[in-house]
Amino acid sequence: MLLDVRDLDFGHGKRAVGRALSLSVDAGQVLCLLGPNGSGKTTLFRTILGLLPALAGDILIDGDIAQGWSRRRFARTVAFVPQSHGSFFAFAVEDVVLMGRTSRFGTFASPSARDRDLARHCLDLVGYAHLAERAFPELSGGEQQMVLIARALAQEPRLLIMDEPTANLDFGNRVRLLGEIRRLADRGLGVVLSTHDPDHALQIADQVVLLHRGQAIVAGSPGAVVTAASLRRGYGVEVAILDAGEGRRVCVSTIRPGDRDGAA
Amino acid sequence: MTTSLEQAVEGTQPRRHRDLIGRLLPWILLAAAVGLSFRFGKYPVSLADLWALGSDRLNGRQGGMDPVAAQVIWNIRLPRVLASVLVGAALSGAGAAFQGLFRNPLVSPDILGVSAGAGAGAVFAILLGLPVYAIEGAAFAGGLAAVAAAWAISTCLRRRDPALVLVLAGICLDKLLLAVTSLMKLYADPYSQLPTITYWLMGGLNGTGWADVLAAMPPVLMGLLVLVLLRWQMNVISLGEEEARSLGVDTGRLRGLMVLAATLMTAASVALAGPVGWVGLVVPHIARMLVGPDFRRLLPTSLLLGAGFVTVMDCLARVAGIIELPLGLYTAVVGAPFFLWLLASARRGW
Repeated sequence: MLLDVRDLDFGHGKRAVGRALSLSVDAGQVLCLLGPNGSGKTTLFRTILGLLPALAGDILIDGDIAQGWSRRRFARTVAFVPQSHGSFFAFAVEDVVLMGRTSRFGTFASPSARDRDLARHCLDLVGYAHLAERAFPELSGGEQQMVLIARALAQEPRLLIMDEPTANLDFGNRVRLLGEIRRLADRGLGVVLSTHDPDHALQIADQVVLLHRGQAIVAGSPGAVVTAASLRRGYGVEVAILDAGEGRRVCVSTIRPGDRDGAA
Repeated sequence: MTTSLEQAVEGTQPRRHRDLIGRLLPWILLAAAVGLSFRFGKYPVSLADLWALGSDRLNGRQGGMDPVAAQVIWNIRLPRVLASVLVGAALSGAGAAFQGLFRNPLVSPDILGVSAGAGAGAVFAILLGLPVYAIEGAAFAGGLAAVAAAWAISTCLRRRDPALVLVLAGICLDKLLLAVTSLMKLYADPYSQLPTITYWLMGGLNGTGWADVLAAMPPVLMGLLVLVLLRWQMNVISLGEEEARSLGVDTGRLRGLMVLAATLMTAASVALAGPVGWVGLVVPHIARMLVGPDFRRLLPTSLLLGAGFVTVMDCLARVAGIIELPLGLYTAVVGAPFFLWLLASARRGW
């Protein structure tokens, strides 16, 4: 098992946000984390990444307890795509991606020509090679998000953790990114991502965990988790899951436009 | 695909051009500043004179130059110019490091209390009536002790953003030490000690000799070496604590090394010249405008520009006016308006 989280208590300081959470992801799998605002998704990610100490429980990578790993060793296996960036200095996009290579060379070294080629390749992979020379803060939110994904790929990780990667993207980029995530997983990468849209889970996830007040209230295959009943429990709203044909299912709200019928 | 490729090629052309200017300009400015600084003064020295004197000295010959003039140039002017180069480079390099480390372009190298600590140390030594080398030693030790105290306080206060806590602890300590220095000034003899104290606290290179320069050189070079070695890590840590850690950087250890390096450089500079303000704040800004925030290029550019700036300001301090005014006065009078002008005309982002 690539990532194995066992009975994890997580939170800030002594205040637990979530208790006894377990989940596991294998290589080639996409795990989608659903949950309302404040349900503890980001805190859980920060704990798995070792940025917050776990209050109890273990985080295993390849069966090895990862809490004692050096930052370098961890970054070679696990890459993180943060939600918002807020970069202060106007680094060139290419240099931002190049920073993904940091764990691959010594503390006193600088990136080599090979690192630069790899960074360019990763930028090309997300379709933004033409932005290489631009200043990162001048990009739109969606472009920044894609560049940060390129940076994560430049780490050559085996597990990718993404905190709401689709939040800043327009509709087209959302679809493109979801497709790209699925492709990366099919090539053997393990992916954990959080999202606000149950449809994303239905489209690309192998596993879904619905988080509510730090508890995994439902976990399992998308078909078992993304149901009207569990979404009502998690979010407190009425929705319907419809069959869109060819094995695709979509989640729609029960709001009807005007008084016309047939919308739901 | 072709359009994006064309765009990329098109985009690199002006950047290359700017690159060359950015690389050469700081060297040219520093060379001009050093030449200027020798040229002007009570004994004007041309570069040819300096060359002749240097080769005479090296070969142990008695050159054709007036021996008094030769003495003045060798024992007064040369160490003073070297000192101004050293002070400017140290303050600007340390300023660039601190601004990246604390992700704030308004941070100066004495933000953690180096100058205040050095001032308190120097004033205490003056009160005790100690000789000059002891005053410089006390300033150096005081500066290091102040930053060590700020570091110790910040590690006791565990919070989410350790860099921010360190800055806040440093600012508190800085104010406290300034108060202690004021208190000591009250106890100083107003006729013999107070003028010395006042003059020291304004910063200047008056009376700097070879011994002072040679004493300041090792800590400055050591700090510089560490910053050069950590040039790439500095870029990553300037993204912020959590992001740097998720990219594989051991931020705690690295921050300690960087603070130690920058503090060594600043403390040596303050011991040599007193607290010379504005250099460490303004020069890294100008460097960033020229070459961007990548520390691999920002550091050398800051060093060269800073050395040139302080050399010119010190030359001004020697030449302008009937009596010599403190160097710190000139860097402030020139630095502050220049900084305001920068703020008014700056493009978005640093």
